[in-house]
Amino acid sequence: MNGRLRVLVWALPPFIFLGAFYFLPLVRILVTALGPDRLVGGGQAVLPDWRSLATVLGFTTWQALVSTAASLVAGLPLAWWLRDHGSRLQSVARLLLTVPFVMPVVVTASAFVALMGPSGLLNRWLMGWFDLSVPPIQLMHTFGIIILAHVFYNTSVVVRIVSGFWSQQDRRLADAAGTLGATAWRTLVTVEAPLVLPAAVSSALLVFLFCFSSFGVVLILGGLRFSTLEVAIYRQAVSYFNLPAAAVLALVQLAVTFTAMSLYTRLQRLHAVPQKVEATEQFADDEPRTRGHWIRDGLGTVAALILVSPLAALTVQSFSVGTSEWNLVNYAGLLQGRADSAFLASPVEAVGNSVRNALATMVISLVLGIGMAYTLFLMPGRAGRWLDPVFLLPLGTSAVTLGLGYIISMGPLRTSPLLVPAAHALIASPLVLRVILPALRRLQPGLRQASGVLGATPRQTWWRVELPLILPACAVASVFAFAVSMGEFGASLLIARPEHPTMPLMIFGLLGRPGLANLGQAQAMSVVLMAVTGASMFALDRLPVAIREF
Amino acid sequence: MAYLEVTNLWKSFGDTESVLQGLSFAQERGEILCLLGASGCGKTTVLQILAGLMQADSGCVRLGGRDQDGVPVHARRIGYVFQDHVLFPHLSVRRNVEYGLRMLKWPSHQRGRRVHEMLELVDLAGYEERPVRGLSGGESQRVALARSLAPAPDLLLLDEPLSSVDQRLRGDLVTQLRSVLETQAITAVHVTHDLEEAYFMGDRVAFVHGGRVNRIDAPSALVANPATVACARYLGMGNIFALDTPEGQRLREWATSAAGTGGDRGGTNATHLLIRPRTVLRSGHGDIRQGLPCRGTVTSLRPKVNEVQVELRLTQPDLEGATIRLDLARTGIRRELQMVLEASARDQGARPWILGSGGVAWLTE
Repeated sequence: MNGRLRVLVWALPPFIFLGAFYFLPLVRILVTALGPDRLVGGGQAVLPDWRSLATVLGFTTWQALVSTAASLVAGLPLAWWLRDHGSRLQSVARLLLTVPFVMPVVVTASAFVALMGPSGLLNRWLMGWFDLSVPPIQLMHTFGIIILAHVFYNTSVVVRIVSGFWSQQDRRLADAAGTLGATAWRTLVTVEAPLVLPAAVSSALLVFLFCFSSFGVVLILGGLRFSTLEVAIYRQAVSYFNLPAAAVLALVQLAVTFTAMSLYTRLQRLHAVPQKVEATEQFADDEPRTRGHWIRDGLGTVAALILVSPLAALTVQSFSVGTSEWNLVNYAGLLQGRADSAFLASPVEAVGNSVRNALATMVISLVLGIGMAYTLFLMPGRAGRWLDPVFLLPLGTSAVTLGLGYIISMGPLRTSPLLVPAAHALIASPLVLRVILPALRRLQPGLRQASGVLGATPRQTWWRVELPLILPACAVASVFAFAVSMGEFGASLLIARPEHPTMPLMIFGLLGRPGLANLGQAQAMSVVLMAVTGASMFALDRLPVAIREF
Repeated sequence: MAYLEVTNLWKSFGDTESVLQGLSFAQERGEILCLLGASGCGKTTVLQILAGLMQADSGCVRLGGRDQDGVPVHARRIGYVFQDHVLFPHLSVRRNVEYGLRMLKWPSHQRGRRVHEMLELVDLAGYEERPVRGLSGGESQRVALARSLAPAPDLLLLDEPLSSVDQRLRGDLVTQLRSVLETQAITAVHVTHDLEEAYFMGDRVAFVHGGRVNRIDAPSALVANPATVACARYLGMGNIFALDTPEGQRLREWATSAAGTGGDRGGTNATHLLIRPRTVLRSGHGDIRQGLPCRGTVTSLRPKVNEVQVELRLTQPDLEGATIRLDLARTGIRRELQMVLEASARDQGARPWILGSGGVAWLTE
């Protein structure tokens, strides 16, 4: 098989899939928003006027800006603290800080309800201590709780990016400033901070992008009063079934996110300066530990604990009903699948749906991701450079927009049980690609040649040499895909059939219903989802070791 | 017809000058040929073309009388020891060595026997179940050798197999490599940039320069008579003077004036004169009568490990300013010393400083 044919074989599945499940829906959104048949959808579609569009866009931007600023304020000091690898407390904090980022949005929402809701842990405690009859903390459905939830999510983004970049900085630069007479503070301001500025800026841009397309947090915690573009798309599409209006909003959303994305990637390319890593490790451990270190460690750990406190509250609350603590009533409720439930499926069925979807997502996204990885790997020169961002596009497209696209474009496929996994795979496949491609590039080219001269055909070489060597990366990618699918909310909300709800959808439904029993069950299910996601991430933490050995 | 015939290979990468510019050589069965040359001269490219890992722009490779054009890599029956060994990291030593045998669909018991035999050959018996990740450089080199020899290839290609091995081990390994190849009576092309390695390993050495085989001969013959300027330079010989300058003319006269230095040959198509830096230099007594003298002053002495490099600035009329560097084993030479060189060893005892026999040689471009 010659080279070009090989590329084609790998490229075909991802191209067909992207075409059918990504570009076609987008084009249909475009046509619906701008085309002549926009007035046909529903017969009396009302396009959003400029004023209401400006209001939504304004709020979306404003809350994203505030969230970004707040995340930076919370994240930068933590990043500074975590820039070296000294104490055990730091590694614990680093682990804690990765948790929020990987949590599904419904889990976060339930966690904030569990901590700060009217019957949440804080209010229960305060009412108990001060003998109050009204919950003192009234944050539900306020601007504040939206921002808090965004900070919860995105602090870890800031910390990860900035401290990662910072830890690669050559510590001798700071030492040099010290020998030149700069105090620690002056060194930070004049040397270290300017050097990490690019990382801080790109993390801020990423956080802005996340908050701008925030959906679940605003929908669940913000209530009816607040509406980002994403929420507006959802309401137009589902509540009013005004698809043309939703499509117009989706177009605005796409324009903004793609602009921010391209800005982000350009910024990253600009500042991706390879730095010496060896120097860091040498200089990291030799500092004597002073009282300052202990104070720093203490403060940092407290901050990290505060950050994950909603999840702790969620866990505690899931084991209590009303005021009686430590029982399994909520979990038992999940198993029973209450008869008076307004849902078309029981919680156990929802778990089954989620797991089935996740497994299917895993398979589809692995096939796609491997195909994409080989396409980029075998594609020479410029074509490959063009394709790379194309494969990443789904990552920058909001889930709600995708869901809307499916509603508009899928026709008879709308009811297919494979539609949800397809959407999830689309979201997961760029991540899969990002894991597998480096593994592929790490393979010594000589291995393929060595296998060839020893008499192996290209296919035998792939099976006996390449596949075994990228297998650990495939395992990591599968876990990623699995976790993404388990937690995915936005797209599922628009396209999943009511009789086949996933776990996040069921949690969303339960949270929206009155009564402590519903709330308790939502929290119990959130804990299950949290455990699954957490376990996946824990497994991921182990797996890269196996990769590094090769 | 020779066993391996490589004829007129051309290869270029992109727009740059061709790496191979009509490279040819022929090799008999059982012969070990060393391709010697500077890095980037295209040695590895030749191996890649021989193995079918790369396509030549033009030219022909015949192995055992069979044109290799169009034969895919895996069907060529060629052993290849890569520069960095490229053992399969996910397989044990045994599985690495038997990889080629599996491709040939050997039954399991025969594979086991062959693997054992091969590991014994390279002195690694008992290493079967080890993971290849923990092997030292020398060990992995030997596993790579065993792996490529196991399927009994028609031709073995070795691409600087010792370059990633510790300098101290290299001497032992090269000896072992040579004896393994001899016992297997294998036809091998060994690529190296190291003169000593080529000298020891090769039945013949082909010096690759400018995309062609510049000089091919038995190792000792190559050193005795480098014959080309490039080869002499690569062998580390300095003091090469072009003959088409007035200075060169004068040196030609000086060298030919003494019989026994190959003066006749110098007259024909030689373009350069080589004065061997490392030569036996004896001091004589008395006047200079025969041949033309070559006077100079010692301008600097640079001690080396086993000798002293003497820089002699010529003061002879017509040769003023030219510098000859000589590696001399003797002491008693100091700066500012006036020396008179004689090119001939004839009539010893009568001359002040006499270059040993073969002290000068003629070269062509």
